[in-house]
Amino acid sequence: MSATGELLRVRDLSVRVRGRRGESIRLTHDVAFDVRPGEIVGLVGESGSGKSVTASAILDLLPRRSTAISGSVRWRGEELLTASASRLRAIRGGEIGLITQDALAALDPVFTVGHQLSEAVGSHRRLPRGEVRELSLRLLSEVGISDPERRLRQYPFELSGGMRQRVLLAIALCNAPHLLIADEPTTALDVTIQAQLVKLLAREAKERGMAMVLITHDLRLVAGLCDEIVVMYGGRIVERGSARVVYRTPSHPYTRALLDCAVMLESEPGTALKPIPGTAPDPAEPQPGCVFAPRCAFAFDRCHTEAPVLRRLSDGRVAACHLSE
Amino acid sequence: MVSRFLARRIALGVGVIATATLIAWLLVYALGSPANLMLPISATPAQVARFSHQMGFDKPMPERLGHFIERAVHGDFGTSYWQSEPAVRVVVSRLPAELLLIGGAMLVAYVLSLVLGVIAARRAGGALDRLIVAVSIVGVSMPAFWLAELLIVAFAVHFRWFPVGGYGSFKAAILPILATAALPLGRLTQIVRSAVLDEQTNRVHITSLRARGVSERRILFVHAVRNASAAIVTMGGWEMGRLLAGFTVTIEVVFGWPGLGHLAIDAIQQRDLPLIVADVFFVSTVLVALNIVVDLFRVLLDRRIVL
Amino acid sequence: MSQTESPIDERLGGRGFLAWAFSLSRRGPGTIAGRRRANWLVVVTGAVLVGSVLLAFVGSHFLADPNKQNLIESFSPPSLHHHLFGTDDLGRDFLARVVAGAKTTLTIAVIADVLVLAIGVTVGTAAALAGGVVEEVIMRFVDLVYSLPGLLMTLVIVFVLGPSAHSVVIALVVDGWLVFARLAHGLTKTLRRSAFVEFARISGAKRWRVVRSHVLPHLASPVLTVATLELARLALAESTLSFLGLGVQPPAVSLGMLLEAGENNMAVAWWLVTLPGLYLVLIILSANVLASWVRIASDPLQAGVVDV
Repeated sequence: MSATGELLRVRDLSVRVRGRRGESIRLTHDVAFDVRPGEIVGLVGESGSGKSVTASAILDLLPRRSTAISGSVRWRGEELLTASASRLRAIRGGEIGLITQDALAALDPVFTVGHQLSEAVGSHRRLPRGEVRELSLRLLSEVGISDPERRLRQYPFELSGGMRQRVLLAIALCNAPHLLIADEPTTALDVTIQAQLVKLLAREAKERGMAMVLITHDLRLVAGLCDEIVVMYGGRIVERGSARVVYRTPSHPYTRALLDCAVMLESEPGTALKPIPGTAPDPAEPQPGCVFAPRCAFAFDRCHTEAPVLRRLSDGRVAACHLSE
Repeated sequence: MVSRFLARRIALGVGVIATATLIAWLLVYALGSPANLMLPISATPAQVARFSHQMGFDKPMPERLGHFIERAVHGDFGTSYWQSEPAVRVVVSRLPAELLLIGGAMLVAYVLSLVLGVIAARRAGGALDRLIVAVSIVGVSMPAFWLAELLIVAFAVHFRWFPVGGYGSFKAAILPILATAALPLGRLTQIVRSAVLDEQTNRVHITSLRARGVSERRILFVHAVRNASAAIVTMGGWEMGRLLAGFTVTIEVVFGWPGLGHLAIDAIQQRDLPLIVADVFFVSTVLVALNIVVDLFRVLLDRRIVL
Repeated sequence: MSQTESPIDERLGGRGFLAWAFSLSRRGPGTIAGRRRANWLVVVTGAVLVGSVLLAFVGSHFLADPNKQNLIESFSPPSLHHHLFGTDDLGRDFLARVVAGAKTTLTIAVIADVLVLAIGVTVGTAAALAGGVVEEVIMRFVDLVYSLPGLLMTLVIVFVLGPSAHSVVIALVVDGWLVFARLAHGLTKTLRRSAFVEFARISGAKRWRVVRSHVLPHLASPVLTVATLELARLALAESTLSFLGLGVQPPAVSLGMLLEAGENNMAVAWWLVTLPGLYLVLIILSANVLASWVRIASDPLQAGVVDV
């Protein structure tokens, strides 16, 4: 634990990648946020906002040859970006767990569920086989999988989408990590299953006192669940603050637009849709000025020429918008 | 599930064997004149006609075919003119030599290609990788019988480490096995290498495995190899099939190795028609059996295939 | 090989150009330089292949008579002043014999290649376009013939027809068209489903025109690659047959025949075996390398298949 008590402390995290002509393309710009023990942080943004890249960068899962990461990622006081390979391996799965969007792709198709569970345990601890099996069965029940004995012997393709995602969760939790990063865990699932999974995640986090970073583009998911919200757009953080405040009074126009979308999806049929016009920015073609300006309903001249800086607001939030100054 | 898969494969296989044998029979006994094939060129038409009648070749074709099928189903492929023995017995006597050659060659090819392919994949782009790839390309491009001849010149004649040919000692088998293994080794090494590389760099579950804290070694040797092995086994089995399909003929001839391939050539040179047909039957049977075994392995390695 | 999917592609929602950037960068540094290096290799192997083929066809005019015997000079080793490739057991100039042999072998291989290509592509494309029962029957037939022991059947066919250049071509063609049929069938089926073919059909174009302008051009590249490989394989097959005495007969010469003849005198005259073999290897090797490179170049996401 660091002096100030955060589990995870991300500062100035920038990810650069090599483009088609060999030029350097910046995918994320100076991302910064903290995760405190037991806290649930929602990392929100649309596709291409850089949220998944950030998650991968934290765990050093980006292809080494083509990406460059700068900044600082402190895990319980330890700097991850300069950590040794063996230390990183110990942390991955051991102290920080990860579940991803497509459980079918993430699970090795030629090995059984049981094998992959015991492998995940065995990569971090030495336990006798009987205990590992006990642990596996317990985990499977805990995540809501019926008939765990049978599941252990099955292959990933034999399970339903929701069940696979639960298996992935069980694997991520098997070594009792302090933090779980959930990268779009519900996106590939049916709407009904989505709610179930989110409830499961919330329960696990609470019961285990585990911190969680929930990455999603769907604001409805994070409602009522997250303590803190970090909104990303175009590889940058545009707003960050406690969930309650951000929901009630969003400061950044993008956050406001996202909220409008989310709220509207719950509303009566017949009400006009209010999508956000335009498309996400292309990281290879950086524009001067605010990154959201081209799509912003409130943009004025200054927005197109000068990029706003993240500024701390009166209620403890930070936002990057000329309007909030 | 698996047994139904197996049953279907066996049924198909029987069809293939029957087709190959029938085609061989038709070619030899029906396409031209079998009497012409068997007699020397100097024979007069009268002699040919007489011979044809003696052998029963002038009977109507469906009748002859029927007789053949009737006997073949009971395991009787006629008598070999050359060896004066039932053709089946002649062919079967060559089976051990053939299986030894093919088995030995595939063993060498499989094992070495796994080793070389994994090494090359691990050090992709490096000097060792390039060397292995270059060697495998050369291996694939070498005519087997030429390689056989070179091996003989170098190791049997020049260095006198091995006998020039024949089938007797263990030593005599080494050069033929090496010559036979060269091409499959080359191709399999390329396949193993690209399959493992593919698994290692591109698959999503590899990233997920890393995120779980599984060691790189385990990711490579357990996961990547296992996933790649479905492709490897398929290709390896296919190579074995090609070997049997006649590829070993020239090597057997060069080394004087008494296998099924050499037998085919002998039968042709001796114009021993029943023996030719019997040989085709056995070669295709072993080929089919092999393919079934390979398919079985494929399914065991990757359960998705059965679906 | 499989589709490449960088985890980044997924995260970012598969933005096309990023996917491209990643696939390039994953092939390692110096990819652009790698391309340049590979171009040089292609030129060289292409030149070797074309050169050896040309030499075979053209060279015979400039060289000595491959059948002229001169027993006094028999078994003389290769020398720069006298016979470049030495002489054989009957004193015949070996360079002339090798080139003549290569000419025969390559002639048969080229003829067979063209025939096999024509038949196979026609059948495969027709089957894919016909669809339904016709397609099913044809492709099942192809599968069946495919699973027969190839070289063995070729031997029997040549035996029955009597060894000669014609029977070799026939036998090779009977066995060889399957590869092209399968290839053309698979490609056409995929193309048929693709948008632009559907569009052409909908807009009323006649079927043959659709095939000609939309399907065939896309077949050209893979078919040519396979044709290059098949040329090498057919040359090897012809040599194998001649080696076994089931190919062209004397006084015609072929590489396989030379290799067989040389075998008897291997210990005494190494060049009689080595040189024809080298010629053959040169053809096969350059064809293999060329085809590999073309395959990689036309599919940039195939990194790692064979890095040349």
